[in-house]
Amino acid sequence: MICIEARGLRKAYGTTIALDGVDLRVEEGRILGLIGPNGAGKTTALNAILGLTPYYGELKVLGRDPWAERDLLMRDVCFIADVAVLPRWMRVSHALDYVAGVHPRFDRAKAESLLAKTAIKRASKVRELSKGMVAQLHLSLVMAIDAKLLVLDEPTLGLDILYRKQFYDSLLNDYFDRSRTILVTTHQVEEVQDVLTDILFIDRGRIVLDRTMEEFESRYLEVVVRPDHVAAARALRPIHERQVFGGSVLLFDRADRQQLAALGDVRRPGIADLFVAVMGSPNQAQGAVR
Amino acid sequence: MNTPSNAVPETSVDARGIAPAAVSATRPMYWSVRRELWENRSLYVAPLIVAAVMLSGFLISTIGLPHRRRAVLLLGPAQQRAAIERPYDMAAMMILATAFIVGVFYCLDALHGERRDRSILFWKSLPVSDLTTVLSKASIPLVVLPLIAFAIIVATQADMLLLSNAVLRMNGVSGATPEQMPVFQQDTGALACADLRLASSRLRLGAPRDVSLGRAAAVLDRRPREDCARHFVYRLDAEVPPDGSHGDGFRFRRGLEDRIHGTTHPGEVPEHARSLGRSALRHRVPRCGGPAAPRPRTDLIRRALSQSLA
Repeated sequence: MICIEARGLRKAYGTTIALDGVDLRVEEGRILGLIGPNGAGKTTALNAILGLTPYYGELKVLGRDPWAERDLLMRDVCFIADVAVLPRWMRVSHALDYVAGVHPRFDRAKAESLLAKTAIKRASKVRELSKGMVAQLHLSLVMAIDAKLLVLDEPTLGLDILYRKQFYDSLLNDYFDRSRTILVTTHQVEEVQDVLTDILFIDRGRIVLDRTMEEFESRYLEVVVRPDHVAAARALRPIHERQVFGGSVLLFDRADRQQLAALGDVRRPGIADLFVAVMGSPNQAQGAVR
Repeated sequence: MNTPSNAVPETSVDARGIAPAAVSATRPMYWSVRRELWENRSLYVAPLIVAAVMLSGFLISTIGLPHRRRAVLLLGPAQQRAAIERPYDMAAMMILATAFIVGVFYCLDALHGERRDRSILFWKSLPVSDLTTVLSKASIPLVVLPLIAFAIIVATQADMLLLSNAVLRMNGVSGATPEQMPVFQQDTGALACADLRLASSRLRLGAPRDVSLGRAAAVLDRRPREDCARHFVYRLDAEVPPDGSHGDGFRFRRGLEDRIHGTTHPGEVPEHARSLGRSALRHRVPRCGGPAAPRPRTDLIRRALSQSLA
């Protein structure tokens, strides 16, 4: 079943084009990372998917038009923008009451048990909680909702590394199953690398790379080339080259592993390396997409 | 899975898209209004504080109340009424003004505040339609705040009435009757007020040997008046012949007994001294002697007082 399907999605703010004909197809049960530099259109894309902004083009989320049917869509979609969006005046107990009151799929007992694992008190106000606790609270609320699509927009912004790790761990272990879909944007790419099943690079309103993790792992190879082999390695048309201490690191797309092994140490690149390769060199990026 | 209460047509291609426990249309509205009250506690706290201030001010002013009331009772009926009503009006005005100010500040921030602090992203992540949100926000100044103000005004005025009646009664002056509360003069509230008046007149029936001035006036004035709705309850009482020969149970007979005893042994029984004195006082009021023209009860009080003072 298709969770999100977009064709020719466009959105402009005045003369600034935020989304320039995005085609997207996300199947059920995937964890998709939407990765792009600042101002690439990530948040605009998420807003369109969540029905927070009007758009041009065709977009269906869980079979619904998000702009026209946001309130119905939100029964099946959860959304964590970032840690700052929980209203600061709200008490934890109020948040539980309210979500239980308006959300038909909210399991209050589950939220209570998730909160019991944290140090959050029922009577505290959101403004009295630390940033990490607010993230825990929001995640507890969201994880207690039996939703089909969870959208996370920079969910761990400003959190320390322990909270970030904990956040993704609990998301993966306690929440994700094969019938759910998670869409996440983040700049901390290397932290979500092991979590994702699909990656999507977006730049200047366009999708520049769309891969599953299996494709990513089988296609891209990184070689730490010794100085004397650099010329030979360059002849194999790497998509990116960077200098590190004691040699060059070259990134190859669909290269022969045996051939590369002769040139130096072959290893699997990180998403961050591929991101830099694709975003850093626009001409080469086209090659990476084809 | 689709329950009848789920009025919204489900167009989802996926059957699981239908909510298992369908939320009725009013529930998001109810919770949206509640969250406005959670967020803006000043909506009810500020009028309550003003009510408390007004009540405590009134409490302090009861120190000289019996004296002032005696002076007021010597005035003409219109001035009398105005003087007795003034503190009640004042309290109502203050509470209304506070509610208005609070409402203005609420409206200034209602739709903008959550955009500014970005919590709109949280609210929009929940299955509440924009229409519900806007309606709930509109209902605060249009419905909820007036209701809160009305309830607080009624409670405050009732407290003031009880307070002044208690003080006046302790000092042997008859207090204001519920219909002197401005809120009871609204025609719209007439039915509800009739209930309240009924309750309060029952209360006063239970009070030992109290002279109900409202009853005396109604007995004297049998002609239909323009505000007969207000006197509906009293009119029922007033259908009893003034000699108390039948009907109306113990209340009238006791009054009659008092009167008889009062004439034979005026003020002889110490524990009944006050009530006897009062019934004797009432005895001097010409009951049906005068013309049946509309006669405000306050005239009677004044006449009775001047006679008793003379």
